[in-house]
Amino acid sequence: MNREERRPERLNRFALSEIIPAPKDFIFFDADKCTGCSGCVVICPMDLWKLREGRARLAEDYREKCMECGSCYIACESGAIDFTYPPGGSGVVYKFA
Amino acid sequence: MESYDLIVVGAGPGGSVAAMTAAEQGLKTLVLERANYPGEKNASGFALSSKGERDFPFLKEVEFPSMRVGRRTQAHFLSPPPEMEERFSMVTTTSRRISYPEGRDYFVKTMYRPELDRYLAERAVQKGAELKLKTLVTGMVWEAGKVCGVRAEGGEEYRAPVVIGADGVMSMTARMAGLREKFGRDEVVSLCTVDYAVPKERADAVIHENCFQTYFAPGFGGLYLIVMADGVHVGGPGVTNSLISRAVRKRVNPAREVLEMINCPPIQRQLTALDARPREWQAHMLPWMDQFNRRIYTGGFMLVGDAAGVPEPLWAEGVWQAMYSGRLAAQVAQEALQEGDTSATSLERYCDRLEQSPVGQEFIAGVQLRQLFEMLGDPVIFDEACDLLVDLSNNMLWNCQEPKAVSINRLFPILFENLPLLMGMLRVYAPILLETGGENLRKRLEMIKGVAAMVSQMTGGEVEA
Ligand SMILES: Cc1cc2nc3c(=O)[nH]c(=O)nc-3n(C[C@H](O)[C@H](O)[C@H](O)COP(=O)(O)OP(=O)(O)OC[C@H]3O[C@@H](n4cnc5c(N)ncnc54)[C@H](O)[C@@H]3O)c2cc1C
Ligand code: SF4
Ligand code: SF4
Repeated sequence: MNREERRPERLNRFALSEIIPAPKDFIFFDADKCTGCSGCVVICPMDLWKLREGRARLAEDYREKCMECGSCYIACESGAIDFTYPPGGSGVVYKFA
Repeated sequence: MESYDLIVVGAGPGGSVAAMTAAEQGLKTLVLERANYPGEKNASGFALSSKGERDFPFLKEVEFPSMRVGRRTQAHFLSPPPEMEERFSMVTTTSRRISYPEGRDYFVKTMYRPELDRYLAERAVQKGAELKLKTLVTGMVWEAGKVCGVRAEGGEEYRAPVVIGADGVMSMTARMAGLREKFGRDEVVSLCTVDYAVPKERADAVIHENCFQTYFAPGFGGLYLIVMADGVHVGGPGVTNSLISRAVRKRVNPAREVLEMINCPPIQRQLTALDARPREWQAHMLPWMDQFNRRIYTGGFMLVGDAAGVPEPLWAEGVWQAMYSGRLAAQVAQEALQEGDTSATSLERYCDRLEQSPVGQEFIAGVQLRQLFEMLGDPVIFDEACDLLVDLSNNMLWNCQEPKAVSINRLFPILFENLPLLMGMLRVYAPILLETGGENLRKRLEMIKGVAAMVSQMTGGEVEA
């Protein structure tokens, strides 16, 4: 029995986070530089990166789900991911941090 | 284009303290913050250690609605999955040997960050600083090889002879000032937190002052449980599984690990007793460096707080460090402005003083102490350490199954069997003791000789002290 089966996830991360969607992109992905190492896929706390045909792909609706944690940007060592913040006043809202 | 004496990017604790210090000294100060209000972007299950009140006495007067005083702390060591039940746990008060009164009184005060961050920013404004919210800084203005201002996303330019980058772990100002592209995989952890709403009476009854607890289980990075007046944060994982390089290598998704470990029975029992309702999910990075970072200044520019990588290397406490470095940077800015020299050579004193300060001193033991977490991260060592703790306490105190004389006589064999583990711990602590307390160590050895003589007399032998 693996860990996941034993204890199903009871908390819904998406329902528990509030995000004012950014009016423009703030994560930029350069597929030509991606080596398919899957660092971003492993680290993203919202599972917004997937590996397809040996390349990473960012969820299209990431602006509604991304926590701006920047972990994917740090995990990527081949310069395929660039990160700036969402414009002032938009993005994730933490009320109880 | 507007001109100031000092510009601070980021209204977290580091930025606001820098701004209040500068404004108090009469500097025309501007703070730029991308959020709708200070504290909106900071995810952190938050406990402020007593060092805060020691070094910033104005904090003694504040009472936030969410504040709880932590005079106890508790560590829980759990059995391996699938059971994950309590195996060894210890609660402790503060030590009466701590060098200052607040430190003897309590470990930490827990509170919500938006309350603290707002308070600090308001204080900076009261002292005369100007605060612009919803403003993302996206560029740096240079003149003669020195930073002399910043540009906001709309293109507005703000000028000042000194800029302080207090923009947190993902510092874009550090990058724009050419100090680093970004932190490396080995220098930051990726953490997640679940916030729960809790009725205050429940928290008072169940937790009282024991509001900072940690949970460790073999193979897991560990979680913390922090209880505020009327809320709980459960977050993690610890450095062994959240340092980005390790998480990627071990293929541990920090979010999944937190969600999984929250479901262990002891945490679930606490949450049930507290009548806790999930309220918010958070994810954030935090610098967790084992060396003091000296790339924190250049001409006209200084980094403070997380942007400088100053969180303490064992527990990664970072707010006091941010406040401390913020104040120091503002003081150095004031001096440099008076001298009319804001070059890199002039600002180097900020880095030197910070390294000499208690913030920098934490890094002396950092490299070694982090090995403790690394040791605990190994499931076999974790299991042995739990066995040792259980064996010692059972055989010395809690034994009701056998005659006491029999169990007490097991102490030496237990210590002997665990020599490799104890030596491993010694390997971590010995270099620290030698580096920082050689003199102290010699005194202690003299004392041990004295005790040996006493023991020998008690048992009828003859030894000269
Ligand atoms: C899960 C977790 C738990 C923690 N627990 C504790 C704890 O219990 N105790 C403790 O002492 N520390 C704790 N920390 C560490 C603590 O949160 C940080 O060390 C602290 O917030 C650092 O303060 P700062 O002022 O340097 O940066 P931050 O608090 O990160 O503030 C940076 C500010 O800059 C703003 N900003 C960023 N970029 C820009 C830009 N380009 N333009 C304008 N504004 C910008 C941000 O919106 C933010 O408000 C924890 C951290 C995490 C992630
Ligand atoms: S910033 Fe964080 S949440 Fe957003 S995509 Fe990257 S890893 Fe995922
Ligand atoms: S971390 Fe970078 S290189 Fe690796 S899969 Fe993701 S985008 Fe590609």
